[in-house]
Amino acid sequence: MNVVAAFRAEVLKLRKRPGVRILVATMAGVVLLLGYVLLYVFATQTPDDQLQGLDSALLLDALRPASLPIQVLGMVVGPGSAIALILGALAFGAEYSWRTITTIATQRPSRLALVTGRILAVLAACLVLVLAGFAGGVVGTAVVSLLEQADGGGPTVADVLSAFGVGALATAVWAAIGLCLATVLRSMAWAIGLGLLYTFAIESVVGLLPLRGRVGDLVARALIGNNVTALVIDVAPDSAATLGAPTIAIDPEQAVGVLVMYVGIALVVAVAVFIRRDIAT
Amino acid sequence: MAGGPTITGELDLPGDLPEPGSSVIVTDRLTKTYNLRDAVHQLSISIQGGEVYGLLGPNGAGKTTTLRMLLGLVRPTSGSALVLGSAPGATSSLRGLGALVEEPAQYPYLSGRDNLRTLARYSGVPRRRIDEVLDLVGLLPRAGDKVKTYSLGMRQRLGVAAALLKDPEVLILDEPTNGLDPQGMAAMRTLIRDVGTGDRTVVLSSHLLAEVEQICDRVGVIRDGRLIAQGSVSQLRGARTIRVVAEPIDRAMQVLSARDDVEAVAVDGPTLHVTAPQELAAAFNTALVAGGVAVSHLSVHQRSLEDVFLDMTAPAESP
Repeated sequence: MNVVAAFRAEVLKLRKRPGVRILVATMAGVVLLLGYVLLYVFATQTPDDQLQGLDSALLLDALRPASLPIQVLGMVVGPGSAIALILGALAFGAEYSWRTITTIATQRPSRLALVTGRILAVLAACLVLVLAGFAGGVVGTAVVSLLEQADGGGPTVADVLSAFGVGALATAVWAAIGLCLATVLRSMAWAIGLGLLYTFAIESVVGLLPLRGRVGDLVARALIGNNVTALVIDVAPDSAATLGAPTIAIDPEQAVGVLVMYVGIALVVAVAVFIRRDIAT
Repeated sequence: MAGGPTITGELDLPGDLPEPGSSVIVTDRLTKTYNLRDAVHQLSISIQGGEVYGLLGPNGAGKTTTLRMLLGLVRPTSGSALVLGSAPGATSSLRGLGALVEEPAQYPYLSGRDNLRTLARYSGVPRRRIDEVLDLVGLLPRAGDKVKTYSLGMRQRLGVAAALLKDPEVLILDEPTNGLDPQGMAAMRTLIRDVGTGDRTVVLSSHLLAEVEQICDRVGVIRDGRLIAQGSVSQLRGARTIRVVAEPIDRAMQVLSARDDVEAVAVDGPTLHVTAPQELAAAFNTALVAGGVAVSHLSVHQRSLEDVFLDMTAPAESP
């Protein structure tokens, strides 16, 4: 009961928060601009000899309705990961800078109910982020279809659901890391800074390294990006061509397990720290 | 202390707790240690239902830490507390508690009403209560405006409204007039006095003596995390004395000491401090004049809370 009360309160705050609205709009914008507008301009305006070996017809195929799930998913798990991280940090970190953490911790719910309700609200916001990504994709593919006057069927429901599921899991991982960092560091700015540093510097750089041996294999299998890529390729095997070959082959089941473990560890740490630590800001 | 009478009121000294049963807050040797330093040391207080209790002390005395422990925000290092019969921070305790800790903390992007809506959702308070408390603190006309456009006084009043939202049995207010202008302070004091009427208990921390003197029924004085005195304001200020400046002083002392209605007479230079009912002042004057004493000054005097507080909280003199 108290969890539901806390969830409803958190949803109200997130729903009315300009920062969250901007993030949702940004997700839609990223998919539309990077995933469609930029690619369309590149495919239609670049001379054939400057396409760097890419086939413009293939590029345009990726922008058709049938390819919507994979095109959206590519953006949601790529640039969208930073947006999800910021969402988690924003939702949990701002309470410390505004000192509202004191106010909400003296309402009726217990700390466990309070933090559980807050986590559920952030996870719900992740679903909204993915939906926003799909909304951006729908607009993008509709515009491309109009411009190209192309016929063709839409995506299958199964493809859409699979892509939505993978997108939701990936954003949940990054949002959980964001909220965990914000809780541990009691700071939105630090959480965003360190989170982005990890996302772009460590994940990206280490993911590109040719890691060898047993340790190298373990590290490669533990990286969030590699596991997300494994799931994306499982949803759309053809995407390996555009995403690039994965540095390591990971079973989809194992990838789901690793990503769920990331979410679990981040949330357990956040809950434990929030429940046990004094609120003395 | 020079020249003044000592504190003669009966003080509840630390550990000397009032009768249990009617207490809504009881602490027993409550201690919080930060970095090997006791911010609060073995604090034992008991606050009765319906009273306005002031926690008085200089900045850094441990008032806020004490209140945070009562709210369950900070865990004590040792000792225990019961708030409304439950451990601090327990749902059953929080249900009957409203609090404003230090500065008002609100969501700047939400309106005053939406801030309270959020808190109402956390606490399961019906929506109609929101406008009731907004009206009570005089914020109803600005309820739809975003909090970032509010003045500090308005945010402070919204903080009180938030604290009142649950219609709490116990209201905890930490430095509620901090940062307010004189008009704002006066309005806030009136508001606190109003909400403290009836059965509601108000626990207020402050370093402003006038505030405590005007608002509180009972006061606990805290210094270096220790409770050094507890009692009503009049108990802390001690008995009223009659101050007499007369010549010759020895003869005046003789005349007054001989009276049965005088409890004590103390000499301080040319002044006598007479402990006796204040309505006897005129009779003393008559007696002194009849006894051949020239009286140049006669007044009823009581130490201010400020005098008492400064004495109590003065750092110990180094040997």
